[in-house]
Amino acid sequence: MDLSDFSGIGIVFAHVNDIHYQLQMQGGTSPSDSSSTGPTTCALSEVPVGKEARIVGLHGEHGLRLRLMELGLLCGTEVTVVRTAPLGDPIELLLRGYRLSIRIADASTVEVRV
Amino acid sequence: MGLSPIAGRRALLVGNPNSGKTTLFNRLSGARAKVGNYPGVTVDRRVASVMFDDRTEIELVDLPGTYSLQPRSEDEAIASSEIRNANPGNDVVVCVVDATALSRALYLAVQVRELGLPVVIALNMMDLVKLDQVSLDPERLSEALGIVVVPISANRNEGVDVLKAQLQQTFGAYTISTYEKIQYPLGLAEQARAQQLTSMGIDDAEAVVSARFRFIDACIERARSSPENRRRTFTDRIDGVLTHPVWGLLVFLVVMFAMFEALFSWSEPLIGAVESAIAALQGWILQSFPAGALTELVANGIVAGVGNVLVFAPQILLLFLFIAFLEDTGYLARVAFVIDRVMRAIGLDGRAFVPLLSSFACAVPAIMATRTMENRRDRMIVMLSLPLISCSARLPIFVLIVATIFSGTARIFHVFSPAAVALFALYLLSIAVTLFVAALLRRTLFRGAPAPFVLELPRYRMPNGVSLWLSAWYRLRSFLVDAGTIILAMTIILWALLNYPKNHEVEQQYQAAIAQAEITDASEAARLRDERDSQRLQHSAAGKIGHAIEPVLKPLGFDWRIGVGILGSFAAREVFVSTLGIVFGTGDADENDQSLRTALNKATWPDGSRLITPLSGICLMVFFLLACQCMSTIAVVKRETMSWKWPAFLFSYMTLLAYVVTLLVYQVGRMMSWGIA
Repeated sequence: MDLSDFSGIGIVFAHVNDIHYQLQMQGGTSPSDSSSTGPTTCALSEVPVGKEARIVGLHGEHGLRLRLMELGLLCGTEVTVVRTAPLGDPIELLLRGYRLSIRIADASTVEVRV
Repeated sequence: MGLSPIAGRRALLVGNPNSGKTTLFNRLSGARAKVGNYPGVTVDRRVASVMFDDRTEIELVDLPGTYSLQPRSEDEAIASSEIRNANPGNDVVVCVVDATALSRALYLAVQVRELGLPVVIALNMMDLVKLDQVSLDPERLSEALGIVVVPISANRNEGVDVLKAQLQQTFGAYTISTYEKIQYPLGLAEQARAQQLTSMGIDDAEAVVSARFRFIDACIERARSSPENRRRTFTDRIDGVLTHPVWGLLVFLVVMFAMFEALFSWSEPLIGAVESAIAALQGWILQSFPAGALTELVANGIVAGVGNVLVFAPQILLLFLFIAFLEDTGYLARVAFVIDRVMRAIGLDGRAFVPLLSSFACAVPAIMATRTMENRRDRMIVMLSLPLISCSARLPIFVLIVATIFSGTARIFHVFSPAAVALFALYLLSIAVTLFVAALLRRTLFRGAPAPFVLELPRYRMPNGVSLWLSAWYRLRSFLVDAGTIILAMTIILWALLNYPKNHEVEQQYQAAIAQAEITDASEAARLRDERDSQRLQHSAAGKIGHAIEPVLKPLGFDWRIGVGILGSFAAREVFVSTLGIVFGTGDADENDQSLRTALNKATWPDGSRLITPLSGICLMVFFLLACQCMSTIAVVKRETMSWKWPAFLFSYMTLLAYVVTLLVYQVGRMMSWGIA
């Protein structure tokens, strides 16, 4: 492989840009928009153990929201609540093939549809 | 186009925590790393040189694990800034990607690529992917991403040679002419996009995150022909037990007890061996070389100082072997998961538990263990409050004092021995004060919104023996080199204070008398030697300081002799006992020495009243519980915070706290006439 491999970066960004334009045309991804679409949404912290849910909105403060998003909790992501810790908090989630633990207080800012 | 070794060519190893990055680093470097430090912080910087088949050489840098280039912790900030400051003419980024958590892991790789840096993805844990019966095609992933992807399994040493060959090729092809090609003006594009989005009222950062994940998900879809594994895995079955409400707590207690036992008991014979080896060396030096200031300096200053450093080696090695084992198997994250609820009650998170527990054995390895905490504020709070937890070095003092003041006292309610009650109360007090100080620090010096607690629960894996030893050894080495020099220097200073200046009259007077007695009466000679040592100490700088500070200590119920003991104990708390032994003329004593207890019981103030009453004994224990009488703690806090500011703060607040509390206890006790008879 020679350095022409690295020219692939052009494609990467072309992609990212495309996606951005799509986002803009859809009028943004404000989490509250999608939350109003269905009556069956609840907080991730209320999802029973073993159940799978789809994220429809993130309502925490900015830092928390960004951190959760960077770990892959985005609108549309499927999350399974695997278990709660022996003392009741935090909870263990399975998403995108890996396991993540967050506190119930933080999970309650994530809106999901079961 | 093979190049001769060119200085400044670097492969930067980045990846998420638990991605197997360090194992890969050890595989690539052949475990010959230099461990340095990033300026101003205490995150290890591991560097090794890697030689390719064509004898060209590059530098391999192991960056701290991070999930994103938007840092949330000290470690992440370093990884992020090193990547952002990388030189696209010399550096190649090797991104270690956990193939079992593909989309999350690729997020970082894509971010790195956006900076226009050449990236090679080491797609790690391919063995687990096969085990999960997931079909993942690295070549199609590479095509989709536009990034070179090399499938490996660092744990099993599979594909590492291919990765090395790929790196050689990448660096080899990396000449000035091709350098132009890979420059990508992404910084500008990102800025423009961000401005555009902000003007439309969309949070740019979040939009960018979503966009990256959509791109990544699309790439993965092209490379993966079977869906993500949702079967019950080995890890699920283990976690069914290890995080079970009953069994999970039980296993947790057993594992933590084993760790504590290792620090407290298993280390004891090793510490004993270090101590006797040092004592033997000192004895040999004193015997084999002509008596004089230089011989004494070498034996009692330098060799003793080296001993003061080495004595921590067993506990540090054991604790870090244990932590590395827990970390590499995946259980350390479960420790935090299980205990987080309890730690949250005191304003910390689950990661603070292991350092706090370790500090009951010794603050030095415990402070080093705070590196497993990712939040800097939490880490500082724990580091600055855990020296208040009653460590094992305080025990000899407590044992001596308790035995002295409670000898022959009746049992409380005919059941509890007063000594046991006193010890128990001291431990309770130490925990209460630690929690109070931690809470106070959080509300004052380390204010701010708490960082969200997010904790990846990695898969369980068999640890690799070599990796365990290496990680413990790197920790020990950094302690020996950095904290060790400070401890050595302080030992020599203390030795000089306790031994100089010499008083000629004393020396002459005893020299003749001891020589005389040695012929006639050996026990008389020994008594004279103890008396001489006591006289020497009184005339030394430390003795004079003891006298000078007596007015300050008297309101606490201490006289100048205890003051000298407190000075001497700065070397290590247990040295208080042997220093007291010398001051009271009973020789080099330990806490079970009956003659020292008797001497303490008989000791009086000039007016004839008893020096060690139950009240003043309790005051002495309270003082040692709270005061920072440990230069090694100071040295290791200096090492971990990279500044003298925090150790100075730690010493000042603990000494002040110890003084004020002891003063209160003594003065109130006297007013109430408690235990002054």
